[in-house]
Amino acid sequence: MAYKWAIQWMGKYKRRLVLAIIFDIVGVGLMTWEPYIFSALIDDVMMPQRFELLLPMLGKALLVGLAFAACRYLTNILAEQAAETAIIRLKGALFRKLMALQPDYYRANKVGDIINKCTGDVEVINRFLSWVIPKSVEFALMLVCAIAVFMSVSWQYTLALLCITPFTAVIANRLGKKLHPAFRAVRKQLSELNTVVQENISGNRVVRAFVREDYEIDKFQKENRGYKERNIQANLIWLRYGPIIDSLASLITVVNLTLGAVLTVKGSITLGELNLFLTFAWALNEPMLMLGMIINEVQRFHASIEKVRELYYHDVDIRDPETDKSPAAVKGDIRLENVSLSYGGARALDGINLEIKAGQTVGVMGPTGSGKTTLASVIARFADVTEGSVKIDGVDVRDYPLRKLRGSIALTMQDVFLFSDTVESNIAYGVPDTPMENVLACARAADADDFIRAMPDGYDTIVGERGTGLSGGQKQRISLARALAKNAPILILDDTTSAVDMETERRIQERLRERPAKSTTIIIAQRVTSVRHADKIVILDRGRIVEEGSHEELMRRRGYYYKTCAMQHGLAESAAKGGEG
Amino acid sequence: MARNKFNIDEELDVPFNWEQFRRSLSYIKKYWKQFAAMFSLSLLASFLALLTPKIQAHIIDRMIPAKLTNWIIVLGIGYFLVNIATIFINRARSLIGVKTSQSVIADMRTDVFAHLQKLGFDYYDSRPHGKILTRVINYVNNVSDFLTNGLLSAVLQLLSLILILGFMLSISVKMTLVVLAGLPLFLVYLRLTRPKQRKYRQKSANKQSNVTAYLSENINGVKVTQAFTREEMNAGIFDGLLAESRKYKLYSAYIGHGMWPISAFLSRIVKAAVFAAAVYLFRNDFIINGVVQIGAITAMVSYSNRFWGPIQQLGMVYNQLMDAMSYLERIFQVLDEPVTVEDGPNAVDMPEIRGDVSFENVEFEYEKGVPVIKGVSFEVKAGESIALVGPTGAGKSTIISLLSRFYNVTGGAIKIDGRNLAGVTLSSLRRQMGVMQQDTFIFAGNILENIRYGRLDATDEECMAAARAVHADDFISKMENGYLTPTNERGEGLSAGQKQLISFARTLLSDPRILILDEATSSVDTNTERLVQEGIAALLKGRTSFIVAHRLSTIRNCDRIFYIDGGVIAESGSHDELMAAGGLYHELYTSQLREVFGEG
Repeated sequence: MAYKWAIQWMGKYKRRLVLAIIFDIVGVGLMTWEPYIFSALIDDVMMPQRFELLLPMLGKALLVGLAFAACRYLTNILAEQAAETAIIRLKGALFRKLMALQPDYYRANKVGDIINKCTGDVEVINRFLSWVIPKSVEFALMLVCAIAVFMSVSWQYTLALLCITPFTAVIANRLGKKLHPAFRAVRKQLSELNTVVQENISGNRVVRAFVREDYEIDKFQKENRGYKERNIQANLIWLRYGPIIDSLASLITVVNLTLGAVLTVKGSITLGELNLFLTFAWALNEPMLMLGMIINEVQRFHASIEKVRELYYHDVDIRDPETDKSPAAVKGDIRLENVSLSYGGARALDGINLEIKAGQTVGVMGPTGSGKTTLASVIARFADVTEGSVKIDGVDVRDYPLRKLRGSIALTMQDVFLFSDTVESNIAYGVPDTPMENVLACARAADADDFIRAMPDGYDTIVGERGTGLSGGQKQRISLARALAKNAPILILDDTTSAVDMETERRIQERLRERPAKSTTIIIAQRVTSVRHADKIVILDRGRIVEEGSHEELMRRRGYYYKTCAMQHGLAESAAKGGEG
Repeated sequence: MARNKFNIDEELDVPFNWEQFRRSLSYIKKYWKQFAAMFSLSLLASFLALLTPKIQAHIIDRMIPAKLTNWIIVLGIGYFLVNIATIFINRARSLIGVKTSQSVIADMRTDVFAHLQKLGFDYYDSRPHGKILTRVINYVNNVSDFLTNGLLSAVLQLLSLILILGFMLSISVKMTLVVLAGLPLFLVYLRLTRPKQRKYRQKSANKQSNVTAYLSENINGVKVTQAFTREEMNAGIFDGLLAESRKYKLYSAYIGHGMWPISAFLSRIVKAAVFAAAVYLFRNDFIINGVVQIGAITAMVSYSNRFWGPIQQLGMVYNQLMDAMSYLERIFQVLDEPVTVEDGPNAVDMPEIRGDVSFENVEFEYEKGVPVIKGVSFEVKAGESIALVGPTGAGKSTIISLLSRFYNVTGGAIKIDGRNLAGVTLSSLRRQMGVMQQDTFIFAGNILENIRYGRLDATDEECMAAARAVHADDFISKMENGYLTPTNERGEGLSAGQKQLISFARTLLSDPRILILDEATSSVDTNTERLVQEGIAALLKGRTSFIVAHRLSTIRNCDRIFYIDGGVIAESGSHDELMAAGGLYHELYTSQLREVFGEG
């Protein structure tokens, strides 16, 4: 159940919520008592003019008032503490979930939407826990107390008043049903708005380059206006039913006053009792007036918790195995056996067989979209193969605990992502406790040390999100240093030096070769110079291996690799022939 | 450049001031008519609401002792009608209120968004994007309620205070003074808690912003986190940020929640004081014909209750105000962010560009005292193609960013067709430049829409023609939905090469007079790259182009090559000239050849 689910996040703070409710109940009790004191004040002190009793009576009233105020304060504070605790735990749990979800979740969901689930929707839950729960208890109790008070004087009278409540319940129920879809629409539109702004911010370079500011403003205006409309729509529903509920509540007051006055005239009740009634009319009315508001909040709560739970219970397909069959230490032998992978019907990898011995370097080339990155993904289990198997040291990667598998692979990605943090923290991302010397050594190996030192704060320079502000080559080298710092037995470099100039690339390659602990290395690249020195070069095309061999072997084959070589160096056939000899 | 990261609170140097308050009022000025209407309606409603205790007192004091049952019923109906009228007046007011407040938010959000469009790269490069997003969406939402309902309610509560005061005075001046005596105590409470309240609100807003920033960045970088198995550690950091945010939110709640109980208790003291004063001090005032007028005393008590209602409301508005001010500060901060690159006062439109480009001793620094471009001069004739080569970080990308005036030069001048870029309008210049940047960006939508971003009025056929020219058509048409294949943010699911080809098609479609390719095809395979070059050759005939690339095949075909090193042009000339000169380029080129084809 949604309520239970939300409350469970409070953990041991649930007790505070209970305490809050207890104080709430005591508060309502005190609140009910208060009018009696004032009623007695009128009937027993003022009317008979026994003013000597006034001061003790007022003292009692003030004490009750003080206790009531204190109860209210404690209720609010305790409920807030419990709710805040639940909220941060829930947010923490959602964060952990997000860290475990695989790429397809992120392909199917917009970032703005996901953020909204973790912030806006969670806030709605917060409001539910900290406000709606104690208030509902309070109002229900208030209603019960008021009814009891009225009953104690006259049951006919009470019944007359209660005739009105069923109507209120019907209206309130109708309101709730209409509000739910309206709030969903508001939510959905907010996410559209979020997406437009988010994209505009992260795509700001493209927007400027194409002078699309006005277009972007138009696009934004459309969603902005839509959001405004949806909000108004939801409020209109509210405004349609709210006045009816209010009118019914007002009817109670009127009946109360008129009937009460008539009864007083007839002598059935005293003036003090009438005063009591008038005071308690509020306790009958308030819950009815607030009913709409509470329904409103409850609807929002349901709309939001639905979204949050959807994220929380989203399947994680790529999970740890039941039993860990991984070797104690990973050497780095990689074997792909008849590996195929299909994405929605299309084959990204198609029957790949490839063996890479520990410590070897393999270069992977091939046309755009031929499956190079996918190959890296199946090794690090960012995607699971649909057929065949990927084995590291003879054990299927699906039998490795994910932490261990990914801990054994250092991967650089095509789309370099740096965190808005210092350069040092970015390089040490995988090994936060690594000594500074290691950071420096890896930066040097990636030929990044010089430009980092030239930055205003050196290694303490904070880079922009995704590394904006750095050149492509600089980002790639920091990303390479980050991978090297991990010092894993397997190193996969996906398009890591495409934006690095050739001189630098050569230096980097030399340094990689000089590294003492030799990792099994897979280099995915478009430039021949990037893979030239690999032990083996593999050419992929449409998910298949079409050429395989050393540089010399592939040059002799005069296939894709040879042609690429010649083209990249702008050479005629003769030059290529000369080079071959 | 003051950079910001997730766990650094943003400094707020704008103190709470009336200036800022007035500025926020400017957003509601436009809707003065609506506000006037709401105000009148509310006034009417509060007046009617005040009638009810009068009717009540009349029934109790006059009708009941006189036993006028029929009149009681008549008055009761009147009472009901007054209530219904109040409810519907309030409804009308809320209707206007909802529309107005939503319009105010929409306006404010548009202003922030429009201003963001004027800000340069440096703004976006120096802070987490989540923090910018929060300002546009969440903060504006948070402020809206205060700007409309809060302010209106403040004015109304003040007015009803005055009205209630009038009613009370009509009963007894002395008693009114008793009721008012409680007020200074409340003001003292407000005064004492205000500085802390404000501090905690700000802190709390800051901490929340940190949480969102960290969350957003981690979602964007989730693959890296998974690859480096940092999930647990980041979750720990996130927990830390959450705990901080909880702490300050609670601190602020401890004070904020104190408002109601304090005022509620004060109202009871006042109520007791009313009784005590009526009995001990001014008993004679309430005696008519030897009978104490209990009705008048209870009416006084009832008004004193009603007097504290608005006071409590005002206290709540005050809380809202504190909240709103900390959000407004951040919103105005965005609006006050200086626009570094903008049209000069006498800027004219750039006429159609022929393509002569000259740099005259151009200097540039991103950060003061750290020059990146140190006096670059060159002349490029219309139609020439120029390759920029050299070590990473030498300044190649900076040079071409300056060409579109994404930044202002700090020294020297850049001229196109003899016109200084500083004197032309940005849009007329950039519209004619086709820039393809290192970072490709794919929008959520579909492939066709992404290409069309280059020229919004292009037909489908024109978009496809551009895609064919860059050989993106090959892979696009193989996709299940072809050009209508949905793309999500940043083009997840497309390979880096495919993304580059799509953005290339986009650039080409914009029909640029000057083409600037910054590593435009670095992830595209060589064969496709050659086909692309052939495909665009005809389209770009006679247009000046600047190309940053690292593949010799790309560079070799250019008319001239600039070898950039350390922020200056170290060598320039055609491939053959530079090879003959035997300098840096020669060394670069031959070492490559040796590398690939061996010594021979």
